[in-house]
Amino acid sequence: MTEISTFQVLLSLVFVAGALYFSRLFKVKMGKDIVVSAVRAFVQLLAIGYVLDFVFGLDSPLWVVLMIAIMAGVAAYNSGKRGAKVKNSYLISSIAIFFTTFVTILVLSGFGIIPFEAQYIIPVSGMVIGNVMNGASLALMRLDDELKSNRVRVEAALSLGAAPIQAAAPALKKAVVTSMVPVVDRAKVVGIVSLPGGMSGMILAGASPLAAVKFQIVIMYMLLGSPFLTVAIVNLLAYRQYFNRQRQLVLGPGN
Amino acid sequence: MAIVQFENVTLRKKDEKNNEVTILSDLSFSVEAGTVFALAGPSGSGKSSALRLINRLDDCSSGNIYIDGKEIRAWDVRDLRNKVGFMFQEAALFEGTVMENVLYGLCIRGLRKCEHEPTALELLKQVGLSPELLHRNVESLSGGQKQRVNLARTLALNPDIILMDEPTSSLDPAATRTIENLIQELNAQGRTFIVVSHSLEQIERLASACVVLDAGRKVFAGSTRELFAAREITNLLINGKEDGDD
Ligand SMILES: Nc1ncnc2c1ncn2[C@@H]1O[C@H](COP(=O)(O)OP(=O)(O)O)[C@@H](O)[C@H]1O
Ligand SMILES: [Mg+2]
Repeated sequence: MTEISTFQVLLSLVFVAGALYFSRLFKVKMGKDIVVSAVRAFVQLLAIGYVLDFVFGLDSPLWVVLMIAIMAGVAAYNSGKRGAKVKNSYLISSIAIFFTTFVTILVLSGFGIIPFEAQYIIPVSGMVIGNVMNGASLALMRLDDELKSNRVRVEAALSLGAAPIQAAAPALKKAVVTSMVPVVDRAKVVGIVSLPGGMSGMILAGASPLAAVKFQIVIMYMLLGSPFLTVAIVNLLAYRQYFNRQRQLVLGPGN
Repeated sequence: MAIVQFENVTLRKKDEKNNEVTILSDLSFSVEAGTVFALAGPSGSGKSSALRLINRLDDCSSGNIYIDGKEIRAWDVRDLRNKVGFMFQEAALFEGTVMENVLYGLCIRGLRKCEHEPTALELLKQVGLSPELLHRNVESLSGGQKQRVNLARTLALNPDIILMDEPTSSLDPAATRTIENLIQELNAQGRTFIVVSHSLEQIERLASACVVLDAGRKVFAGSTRELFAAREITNLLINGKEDGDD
């Protein structure tokens, strides 16, 4: 792939300038946000570039694992925060995201699809984690919402003798569906509406489109499957937070 | 014999600002087996909260509740909920058909197949609903029909005690009559009913004894006849406050 000079990177600021110009023109006051995100993108990407360069150079599995753990940890923290209405949300999102990442990498490297090397494992983990993070957040938020808005039905089920999982089943079902819709929708339009980043990257880097496509199909399937695993784990851990041993629905203060 | 007995029951909960609020204070009363017992009081007086305790949807903060002579916390909650059925205020029906609703309790216990039509039809008959409704979606039913499905769903498990939270509050007079007649029929078969109501007429028609709550405290307990002799209490029920003038 052709190497870009630092000067060329600076030239690309013309896009940012354009964004600033239009935000002025339409008086939408997004100028500050635009500048902040441009600076953040620059700093974060530069930092990750150095970190990856360093880790690839070390060629030590321990560092690779540490790197992935940090990514998964940040993602888990984010989801846990978004789903903070659920008790133990941070623990739940951590378990789900770490486990999903682990399983996905295990399967991919077990099938020999990607070699167990830093330069493959880390970016692929990054994709998995970024992808399942949304699933975990959505699942937490939706389940809380469903259980609270269907409180009477859940309690009616309990009083008819349902176990917590039975009483929560309709809410769980809806939480899974609503958190998976974006994932499935994206898979439907891939290649037509959107060229996935990974594939674009490979083509830009000089790989043949067909090789890039094959790899992308694997990635797409992985990105389709992994959020289901996360959402399932999140749901199965999260619904328990709403019930006690006496089969009571516990919604916390004010409910 | 008392089938349900409250002994100095206090219920506190936390509100949204995490402050403790007392919902029921030191409440004692008992319900005789085989009777229709009314739980009355103005809106917000704690009737629904008291009813929930009997099904152990909540636990009281202090005091004791005895069901059939046994402290409620000594019951296996599954046995308790077999014995005590709860018909919720809003027709809290599940999305789906009439059959799915009435067979729910049996189906989740694995006692009947979830599509065991003869059982479902038998239950519809018990509440006077036409067999044609069996496969109808509950959304399409009238308020009165929904409440009868709600009752059938509770009856499926053949509970000894049936709790009803304002079973007729959203019904027209004809549908109200139907539900009241059903209560009387089922009571004649030996079931105990505890019915939340704020209609004096309904209490008179149905109940032999009642307790009246106001702001979580018992302000009356006794027979229905005694209730009608206590003017300040009937005024409370009519006007929602004790002095009776607006
Ligand atoms: N979780 C809760 N937190 C605070 N207050 C509550 C809670 N649940 C019920 N209440 C209050 O308790 C009182 C009694 O409620 P409820 O039992 O529903 O009364 P009723 O059925 O007689 O209308 C009401 O004032 C209600 O606002
Ligand atoms: Mg009520």
